[in-house]
Amino acid sequence: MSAGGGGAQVKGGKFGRGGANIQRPVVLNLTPMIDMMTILVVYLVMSYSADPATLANSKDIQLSRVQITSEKPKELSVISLSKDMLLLDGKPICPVIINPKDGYPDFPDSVWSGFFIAPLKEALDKVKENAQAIERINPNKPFNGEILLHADHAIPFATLKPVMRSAGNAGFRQIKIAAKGMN
Amino acid sequence: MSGIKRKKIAEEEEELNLTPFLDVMITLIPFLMLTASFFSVVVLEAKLPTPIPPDKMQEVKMPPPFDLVVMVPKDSIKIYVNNKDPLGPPQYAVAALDRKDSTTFSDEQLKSFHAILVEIKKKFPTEERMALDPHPALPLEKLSEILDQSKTFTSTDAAINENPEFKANMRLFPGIAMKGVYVP
Repeated sequence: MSAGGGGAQVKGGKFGRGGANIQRPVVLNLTPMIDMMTILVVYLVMSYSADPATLANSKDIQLSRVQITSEKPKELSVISLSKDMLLLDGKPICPVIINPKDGYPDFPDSVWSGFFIAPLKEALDKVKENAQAIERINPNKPFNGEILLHADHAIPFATLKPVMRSAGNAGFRQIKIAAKGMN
Repeated sequence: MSGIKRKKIAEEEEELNLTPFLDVMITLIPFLMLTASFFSVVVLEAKLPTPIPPDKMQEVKMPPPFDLVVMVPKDSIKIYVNNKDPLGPPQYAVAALDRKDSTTFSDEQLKSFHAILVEIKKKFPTEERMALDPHPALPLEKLSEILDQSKTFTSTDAAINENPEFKANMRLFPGIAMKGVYVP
């Protein structure tokens, strides 16, 4: 695409010999810049992704890299687990601390309820209630117990376990782990 | 219309005002560049084991007809197929001792692991279930690599040319259950 005739006039300097004051308008050709910008905007809009896994992406969470899998994420609730915070759909649930016994990231004593993280389970129970309410109104959107886990690549399995257990107890037994695809 | 008038109109041709267009572009480009992500996000599915209801316990076959367990301790990947002794030696293993402090497995280790799973699939072509038992210290990156290598065949696997069903669905062991997570 080209914006033909695009130009801005600026006053030129003095031309000619012997001090003759001839001022000619110099036309700044904006066409190549507009062409480049249009191509750039089209490319960025085409590659723009608004899926929940991409939106949940943050500086604190560096995703794992995988080679083969190419399954794209669906629209699901997202549990985000960084080295210092646990979130559900972007809302903070509880902080992540370092367990002095084993050095693994862990959750504060106040949030534990047996084997579960109480605030996460409560929040997931509400998400499940909402999903089931939607299912009653629209049977084409059934609640299938899927949840997206968006966690940092260095988080050990010991820290993921209580998160998965809390999700499973709330009815989310299909954990979809987000990763960076190579394809 | 006279010839002079026509000439005047041609001279006073309107110029396209590009300022608002440029304003929009200059705002839009930084916004898109800051919010865009230049990698694709994929998902790896891991199911949590479902407890069997007491009334269906009688229907459960013991020992199960097919039992594939992948245990991932700190120093290796151990693969048990229909193993009667859970504490005994695994049928297959990939040593990973040299990479115990790394957050990833090496390409050779992943290729060996994938090749073992392909061999098992050739022996049990209809089976799709696998139990994964990771060590608590195993980082998510390694766990993701194990899940990634277990789910599907790759286009370079020779086994897909031996069985048309493998080529059609490319499924290796997609039914992965996390053995280490017990949900009451």
